[in-house]
Amino acid sequence: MIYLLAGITYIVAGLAWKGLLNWIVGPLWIVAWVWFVPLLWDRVRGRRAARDHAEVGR
Amino acid sequence: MSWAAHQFEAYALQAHLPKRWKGKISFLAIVVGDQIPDFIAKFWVYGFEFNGKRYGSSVPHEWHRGWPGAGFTHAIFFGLVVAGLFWLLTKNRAWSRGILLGMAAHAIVDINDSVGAMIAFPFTTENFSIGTWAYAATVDGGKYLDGAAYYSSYGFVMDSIWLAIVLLSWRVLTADYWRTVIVPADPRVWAWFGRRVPERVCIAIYRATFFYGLTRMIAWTSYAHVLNDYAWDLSWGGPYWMPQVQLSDLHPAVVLGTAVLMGSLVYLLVDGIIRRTDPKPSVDSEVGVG
Repeated sequence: MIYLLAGITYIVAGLAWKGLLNWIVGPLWIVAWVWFVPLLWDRVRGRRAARDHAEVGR
Repeated sequence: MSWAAHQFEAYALQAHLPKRWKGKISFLAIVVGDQIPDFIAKFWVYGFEFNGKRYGSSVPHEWHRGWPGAGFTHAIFFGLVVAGLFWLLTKNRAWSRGILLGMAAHAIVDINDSVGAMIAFPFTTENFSIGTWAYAATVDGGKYLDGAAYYSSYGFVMDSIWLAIVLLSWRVLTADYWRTVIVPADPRVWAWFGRRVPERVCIAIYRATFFYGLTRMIAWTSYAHVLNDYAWDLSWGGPYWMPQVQLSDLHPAVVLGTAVLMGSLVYLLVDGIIRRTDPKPSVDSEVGVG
């Protein structure tokens, strides 16, 4: 799923700004998605869980 | 020139390495070797603008593939020189072999456009071409016209064939293949990555070239035929709307014969080196990273 999302975003961004369609940005794009998106996702879920936990505690 | 084919061919090569070569050729080196010819030659082909002035080749195809010019970068001999230098500096056999294979694959695949490649340099400065599609890098058109022409011609078919070869060998893209074949061939580099990033990122690094090839193929085809209205022309030497540029006029039989000969020489050389220096069976054990 993450590869699909990375692919779609890269194609859309690349068509909007074709300077992105090069051999440096292209490979880095997927590596960045696989590296950082799960981290961001975990952080967002962690914050949400902490907030829900605090609300239940009140 | 070829576009995504140069990304896919690294995986296709990897998937179809002879059994006794597995674990003895660095995949990353194949990718690097595949990029070296255009890394050296192509920056001047499209050129760049600075302070309103264009810097770059005035005759791109002559610079890219000709002599005098950077055409020597698309020669098997140059692959031997680079791989040999790499071996002298690092003594890394898997990388030296991979660089040679990648550079040879790049040069041989580039005989398909109308300008072709000097695959037999320095024995001859003749360009070997079968003219499957029109070479389309021009001063005025730059990368945009080049991409549109390529993805309106048999270039699109060529990329699709390489993509199909990789997809038919889909196991080459799996995490298990990376762990059991790719890492053992190149344990130090992957261990270096593994100490710094999680395994999922190492696997993404391994798949990144395929990802780039697939997405650029879709993006440039969309640019040519969805965002613009360039005409398809799946005929030999097309697209018809691109002026044909050539650097020689060798008979296709001579071109194909030379390409097969060069490819065979590279195969025999790598096979001979592996038999001589690495006679043991290929490594099948996992090498821990991360």
